Amino acid sequence: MIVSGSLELKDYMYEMRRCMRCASCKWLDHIYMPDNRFVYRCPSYAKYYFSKVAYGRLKLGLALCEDRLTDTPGMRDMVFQCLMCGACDSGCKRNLDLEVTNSLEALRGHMVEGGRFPQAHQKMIDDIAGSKNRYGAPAADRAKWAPVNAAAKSDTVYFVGCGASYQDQAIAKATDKILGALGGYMLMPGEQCCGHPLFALGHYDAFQKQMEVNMAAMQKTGAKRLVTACAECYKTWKVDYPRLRKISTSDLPFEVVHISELAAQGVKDGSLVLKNKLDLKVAWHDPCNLGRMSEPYRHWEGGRGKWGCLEPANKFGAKEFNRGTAGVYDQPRDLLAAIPGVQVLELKRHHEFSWCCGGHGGVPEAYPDLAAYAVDERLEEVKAVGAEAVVSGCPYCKGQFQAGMAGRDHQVQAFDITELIAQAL
Amino acid sequence: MPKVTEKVSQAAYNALVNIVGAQWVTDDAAITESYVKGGEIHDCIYQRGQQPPGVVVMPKDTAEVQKVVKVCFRYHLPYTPIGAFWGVHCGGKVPFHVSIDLSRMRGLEWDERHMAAIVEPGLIHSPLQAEAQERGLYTMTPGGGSQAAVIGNMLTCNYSPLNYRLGLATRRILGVEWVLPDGEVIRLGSLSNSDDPFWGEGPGPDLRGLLRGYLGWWGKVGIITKMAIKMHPLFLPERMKPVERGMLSTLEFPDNRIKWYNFRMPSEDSMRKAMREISRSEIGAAVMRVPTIWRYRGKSTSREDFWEKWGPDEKKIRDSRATSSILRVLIIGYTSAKQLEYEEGVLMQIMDEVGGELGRTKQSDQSWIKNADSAGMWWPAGGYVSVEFVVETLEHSFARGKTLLKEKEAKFTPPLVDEYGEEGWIQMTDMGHTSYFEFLIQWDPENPLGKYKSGEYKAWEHWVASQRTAIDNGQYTANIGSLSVMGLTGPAFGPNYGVIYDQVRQAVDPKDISNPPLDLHDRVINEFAPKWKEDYNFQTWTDLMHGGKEHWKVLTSRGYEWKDCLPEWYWDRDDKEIG
Amino acid sequence: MELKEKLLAIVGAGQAEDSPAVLAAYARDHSLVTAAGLPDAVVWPESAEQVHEIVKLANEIKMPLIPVSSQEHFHGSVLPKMGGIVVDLRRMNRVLDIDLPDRLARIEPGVTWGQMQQEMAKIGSRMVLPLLPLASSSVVTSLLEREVPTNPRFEYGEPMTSTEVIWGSGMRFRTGSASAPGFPEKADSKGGNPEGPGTNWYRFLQGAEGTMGIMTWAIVKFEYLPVMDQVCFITFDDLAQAVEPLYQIQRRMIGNECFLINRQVGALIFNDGTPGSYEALKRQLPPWFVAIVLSGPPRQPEKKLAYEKEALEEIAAAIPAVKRIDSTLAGAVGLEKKLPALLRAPWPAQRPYWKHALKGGCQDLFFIAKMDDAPAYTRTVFETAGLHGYDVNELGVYLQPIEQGRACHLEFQFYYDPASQAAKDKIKALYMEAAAKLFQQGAFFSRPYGLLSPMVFEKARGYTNTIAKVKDVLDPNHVMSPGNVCF
Repeated sequence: MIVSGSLELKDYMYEMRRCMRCASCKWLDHIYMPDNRFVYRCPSYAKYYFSKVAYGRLKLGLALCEDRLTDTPGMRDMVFQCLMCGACDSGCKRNLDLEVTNSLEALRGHMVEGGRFPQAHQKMIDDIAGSKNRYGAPAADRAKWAPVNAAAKSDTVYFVGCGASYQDQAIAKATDKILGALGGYMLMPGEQCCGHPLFALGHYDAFQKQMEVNMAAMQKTGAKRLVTACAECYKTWKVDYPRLRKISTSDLPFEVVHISELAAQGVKDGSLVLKNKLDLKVAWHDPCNLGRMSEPYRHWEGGRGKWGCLEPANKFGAKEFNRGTAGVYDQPRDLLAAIPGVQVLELKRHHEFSWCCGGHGGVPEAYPDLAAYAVDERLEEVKAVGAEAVVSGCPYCKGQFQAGMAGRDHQVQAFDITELIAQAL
Repeated sequence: MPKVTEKVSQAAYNALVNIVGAQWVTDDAAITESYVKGGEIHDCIYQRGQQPPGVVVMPKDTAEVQKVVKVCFRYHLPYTPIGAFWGVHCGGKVPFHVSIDLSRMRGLEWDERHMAAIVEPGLIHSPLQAEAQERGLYTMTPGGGSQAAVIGNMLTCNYSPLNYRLGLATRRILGVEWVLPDGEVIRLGSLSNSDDPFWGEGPGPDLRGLLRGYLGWWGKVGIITKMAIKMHPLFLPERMKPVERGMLSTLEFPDNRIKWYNFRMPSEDSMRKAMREISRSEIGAAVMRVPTIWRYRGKSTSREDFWEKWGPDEKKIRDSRATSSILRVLIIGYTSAKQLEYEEGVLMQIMDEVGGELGRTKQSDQSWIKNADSAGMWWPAGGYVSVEFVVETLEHSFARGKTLLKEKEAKFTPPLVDEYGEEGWIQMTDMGHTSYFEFLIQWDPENPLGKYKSGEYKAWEHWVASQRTAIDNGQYTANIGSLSVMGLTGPAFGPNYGVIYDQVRQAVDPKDISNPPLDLHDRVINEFAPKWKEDYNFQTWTDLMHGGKEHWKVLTSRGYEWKDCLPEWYWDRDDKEIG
Repeated sequence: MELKEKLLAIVGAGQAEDSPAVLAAYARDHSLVTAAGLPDAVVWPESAEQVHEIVKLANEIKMPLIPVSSQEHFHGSVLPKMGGIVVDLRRMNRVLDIDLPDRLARIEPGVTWGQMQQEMAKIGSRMVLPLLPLASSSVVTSLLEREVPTNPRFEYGEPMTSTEVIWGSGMRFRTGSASAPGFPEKADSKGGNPEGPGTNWYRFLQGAEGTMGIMTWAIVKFEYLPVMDQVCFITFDDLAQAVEPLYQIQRRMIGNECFLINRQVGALIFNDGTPGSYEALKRQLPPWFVAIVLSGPPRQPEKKLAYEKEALEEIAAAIPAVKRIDSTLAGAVGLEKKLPALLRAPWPAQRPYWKHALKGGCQDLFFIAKMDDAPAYTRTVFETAGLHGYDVNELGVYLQPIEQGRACHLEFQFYYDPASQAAKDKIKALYMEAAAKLFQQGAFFSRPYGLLSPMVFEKARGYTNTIAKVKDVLDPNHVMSPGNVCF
């Protein structure tokens, strides 16, 4: 029996056996590969080489499942020197439709179960358990950023997330302004970390606890819509929560939207007017968790039949694959283009093969060299296309860009998309 | 079963670290484990029992490669060079071997004026083609796909329908820098006199003969660290633009310089006539008969979708095959848009005469500019191999197709995917002097109906049987460079090419360290398929050949049996029907 | 038994000789190379079986073999350097098969350009030739030695496909797809693929000057004859002006035959043999000119000529050095009509060979180069010629673009009187000095014959060592043409 989204490594034996090491998980889409400079989609491979990429990790997973390997000195690094950015998955889905990201998630879980994970991750896990945020900051400080337009009750909940609450409050303030212009919102009473880091690190039991708390809190608000300005929160609410509950995104009792979706709709229907001119050449950085990782989750159960075909169990239809192409891609681009004076440039690696900023998967905590490398690579791209600013839709991406700028000769500005929209209002 | 991996000696390991730095050497099993080809797909056919390396080393340039090879020579360590690891032969066969992973060597330089790209072994086709277009040049992407390494592919296959105009790859190889198995660096062609690699042959006898074979050495004669590749002048005033994304991404053709045509031909004879007449008229950029299954594959959105359409259409396909087949022609206006107009006029005139009926087709890079098939071959059923991919003449292509189909349908379908009478892929090459033929088979390696791997065994046997039919019918075959079937082909072709092939290899690699084979195939056949020896008149090449023996001695001296070198699944299978 | 008797036992009465008078003919050629003496014997086999026996005999008695296919020789390759048996293959001159649909012909090594030309005419086809070879020269040798064709359009592939060879070891072997069992009678293979089996054996035979084995047949490609031709000329005051137009013409794949020659070469090949004709051309021809033949295949040929001509005009309009595209050549009346046929046939057998017509002898200095570098190489040769007192007005220059202008064959011709030792010495000194300077400049001598081979192979030491390893397998007793190449 195949249950989509399973977190058990043994459920991905087909994937691990049938990966034929074509390396689509490593190289950029061949049609879009721009030159010999920006050729990889996987930051882990580009930094460390060897087989530190999905095909290598799948083969490792197979060896673990078949009890051919137990532990090696390099095994932890092999598994965790990975940003869990999902770029590999969209590469594989161009040809083989193997569930690569799910396999890697299950591999992490398998390692965590055996206690084999980087010690550097422990602090974040403890902080979320203790302070309910990833920084270990006082829980009471969460709403210190002083919302202006929040109401006590609304159909729309703005889920602020740890990043905008504690680290980059400009994003929270800008979102507050935009949501104010769009008809108001409420905050989630007693908001806690969505648990995204726990999921990305492979600590699924702890994640499950966070989910239960947050889902209950959301349901208690009675709101019909949850808005985030954080790609990680967005993916968590939209994909991981329903996935763990074995339901589809569409079965959630509320809608999950990213602020860029909402704002783009507002510009389209005239409820949001971007009037202030901003002379700026910007490059839009597709955050992994807003793009390829955040396609709606569609729960599916079935089995594998002749020729490896997936055969649905009762009540399920044919499996629909998430191939990374149906993430939130157009809305942020449309929004930026709608700001007077803004010229939007496309980076070399974009949409489902966007290059990760390096801020994900527990990498900044455990492997800062990889995090630094990934963002530096991205800033090289920003430079190569001639942009003056890089814009994202996730506080962690922006944080990465700001950190990555240190020591670089070529400086550009880094913004969250909410900041530019708020400026233009 | 015991796992056959072991570190190389500490002294040798230290020597490697001293050359490339500790960061670029590893013997960690979590990494070495993945230096075998995945999925038991191609490898089940070509080499039973690939082994993970004992050590992986990643040199950054020719000087480091040379030093690494010298260490291997000194310590008598077998090594396997790896470019992009697309081809199965990249996987080492000998336990304890050193994987020399050349992925860091991705260099690409240009001599635009003289239409040459100077590439390193880690470079793949996709960036080569992308940069070429920026410079008003192009090459073709081979059937192996955009992810195949350029050098690795140039040394073995490099086939594409565009070879109708571009010829065989062998002449596209220009100056070459080559590290021999003893660590000596030699330079071919104009590189032998200067640092300019613009010309490939000579001086005197052409050592490219040793470099590339049909189908080559698969890393058995050393490592190419640099190769200049002949490119071609791009016929388009502007770049071809990417459109769509994901599975459908492609390059859009401008309508006045490059155009596909699909014709439904009333009979095989009309197909022949059309192909001959096109080449006699010196028109076209690609001319081919494409198997029906690839059209179904091209239209499907998933494997499930494919089977839903392909499965029930058997009768329709068999019936239509009896009365017609599809001829696909690409026309390019190399000189000008008017050339395309002219060639289109000639093509239509020919089709009027032979009764070809023009159908619809997309005007985009369905394949061969950047969009070659690559991993998609594995997609319909999970297991795939090209049993044959041979260059000969047009009638040979038709004959080989009929021979292979007959055998496949009689003995191997099922478990192989039934292609409803398909006689293979045929294309004109070398402006019609020759023709390329490919026969692909697919199977489900995870057949859930029991008989684990039985599809794979049948695929393997079909492959062995295909060598026999080639010998019996005087047909050429692509697989004669493969040591696995040397017992069949070695004495038959040439004749006795196997003997001098092995002698040449011994002369160039006296210690037998460069991607050495292991005579596992014979042993596997002796044990599991003795009947094959009778059925296919297999001779054992262990007694004929030098290759592999040395390593065998080393292995047995360390207490290993040949069975230890087989992959785990080999022992787990339920199916014992083979032989 | 004497050597001659042993040979006669193989080839039959009258087909082997060891008299000095007969052997003397094999101890000289048109090159500057001096033979070390006479060969020991000459033998004229008529079949592969006989060649096979001869090779076996040579291995037994450790006697060198010198295979000879053409009837006149230019490079010193067939001169006996260490004695030995000359294996003259002129009797093996059968056209064994003609496969018209695939445009492949299986021929023996003694088949000459003249003979092939007649065979091709019968079936409306043609071979692609180098510039006006001798009618008595072997087609197989020409292709093996990689002589450069005047028609770059067909250079995408190999001119020769499968072959049969008796390796120096005595092993009889078929290379390429003709290696299929049962070839040719009982095989589906037509021998169309040059590659394999295993490795690309045919490459070892190229440029090998007979040092690896003896070829007993080869399959060569031919092409259909165009049904319509139009010749275009572009004239230049100096070579440098011609370079850019040639790049562009070749890059756009315009025309079939296409080359650049100077007035000297033009006068030698276009004169009609009547008194004064050469001199008149020498006066009237432009200093340099490019000839391009636009050709139309059987269907709608005029349309093909039209778009190619239009493209040529576009190039002319964009390059100031191209004054115009001419349909005639000043000083050469009617050449535009004759040129296609002239270039698709060997030099007429009844006339003295064009290279020898002026002074009786000619030493070619040729190599592979980039067209951009041609002016500098030409300067080097002219300056060196001047230093040696050679009249530069009598220096022939021929530039043949290859592979869409990626490279070119650049050839300089020094004419001299071979009867005069002084003239010979002078040319030799000039030839050696010019070659050394060119080599230094980067000229690539891909087939360094005779006097040039030490210079080239010494520098390519690694290459030389490796090719020697291959030679040790294929000719373990080194009986094949010792003294040639680097062996």
